[in-house]
Amino acid sequence: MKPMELMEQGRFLGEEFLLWLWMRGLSEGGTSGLENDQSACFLDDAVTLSNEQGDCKALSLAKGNPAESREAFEALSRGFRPAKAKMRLLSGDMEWTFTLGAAGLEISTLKLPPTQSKDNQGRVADRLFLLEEGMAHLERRFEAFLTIRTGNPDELQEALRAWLRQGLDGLVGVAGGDADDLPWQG
Amino acid sequence: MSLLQGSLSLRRFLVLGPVPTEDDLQEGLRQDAFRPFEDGLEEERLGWCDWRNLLILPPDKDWVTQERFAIFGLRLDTRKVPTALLKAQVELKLQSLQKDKDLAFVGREARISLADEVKAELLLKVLPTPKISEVAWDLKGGMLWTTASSTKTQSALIGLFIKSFGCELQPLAPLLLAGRLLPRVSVEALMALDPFDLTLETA
Repeated sequence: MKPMELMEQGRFLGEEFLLWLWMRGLSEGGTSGLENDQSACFLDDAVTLSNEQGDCKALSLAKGNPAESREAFEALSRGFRPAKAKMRLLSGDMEWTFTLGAAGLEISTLKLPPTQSKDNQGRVADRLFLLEEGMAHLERRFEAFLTIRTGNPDELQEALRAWLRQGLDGLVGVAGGDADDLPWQG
Repeated sequence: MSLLQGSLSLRRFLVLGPVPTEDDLQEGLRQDAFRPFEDGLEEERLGWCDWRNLLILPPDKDWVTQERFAIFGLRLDTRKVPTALLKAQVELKLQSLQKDKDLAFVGREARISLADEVKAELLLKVLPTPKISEVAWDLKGGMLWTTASSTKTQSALIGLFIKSFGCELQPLAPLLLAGRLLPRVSVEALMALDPFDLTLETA
C-alpha cells in the first residue's frame, strides 16, 4: 500500500484518538489511565473539525474554551470529526504544547520545555531528549487508546456517544472539581 | 524553526532497511551533498548540508553524529527568472536578430532556442532561494524526525534518502504506528476496523 493510501485509510484512527484525548482531558483530568503515569494531556484552545458531508466541510474553533463549547459538541454530534487540535501535555514541571494532526499524527508548532544547556551540542541533545520524552507520553496514550479501540470497540463508541450527549447538555468539564486532586498536580 | 531553538513542526518516518555504518553514512552525505547551481536551465537543486549552516558542504562529520542520532540538513534551492522579465528580454533579442539578419519572421524552434539562451543567461544573475529542512535519524530506533512539512519537500527527502543510504522512509501515520505499538493485533484486524458512528439522532 502506498504511503498516502496508508495515511488515508488510518485517518479515522487519528481522528478518534484526538477525540479520546479530548474526552479524557475533560472527564479524567487528562490522565492516560495507565499505571504509574502521572502525566496529563488536554485539548488546549484551538481545534479544527472537518466533515466530508454537508455544506460546511471545516469548522475552526479557537480562543476561549472550544473544548467545552456547545458549538464543538453540536458539530461533533452532526458528524464532524477533529482534524487537528492544539494540545497541552504536562508531566511533573514540564510542559509541551503542540498542534496534533489526525491524518498523519503530525506535530506542528511544538514548544518544548526549556533547556539548561548553553552550548549547541548540549542544547540539541536536551531538545532531542525532550522531544522523545513528550512523544513517548503521546505514544503511550495512543497505545492505550488502541488497546480499547481494538479490544472493546462497542464500549468505547458508547462512551464517546454518552460524552457527546453530556456535552450537548452542557454537562462536561474538568473532572473532580478540585484541581489539587488530579494525579499530575505536583 | 530549528532543533536548536524555537518551536518545531515535525513529521516522523519509519526507516526501513539496514542501518549504515558510520563510514557509509558519511559517504552517503558526501556523495549527495548539496552542489550549488552552475550553468544551464536547472531551476531546482537538492542535497545534504550541515544542520547548523547551509553553507557547510558536505555536513561536518563531527556534528552529524549526536549520541544515537545522525543529524543533518536537506537543502532545496530554487531559482526562477521572473516571467515578465524573460518575455521582455526575449522580445528584444528577437527584434535585434530580425534586424541584424534582415529576417521577416523567426521560426518556432529558433524562438525556443533563443528563449532558452536568454533564460540561461538570466538564471546566472538570479539568487537562489534556499529552503532547509532538518533531519534527525535515530539510528538505533529506526525512526527519523524531520522539519520538512510540505509534501514536495517530503517527497524530495524520501527520494534522496533511498539514493544516499539505501533505506526507505514510510510516514508514521496512525495505521503504521498502530501496527508497531500493538504487534499482537494482526494487520488484517487493524485494516478491518471501521470508523465509529458518533452522529446523534437528536442532533
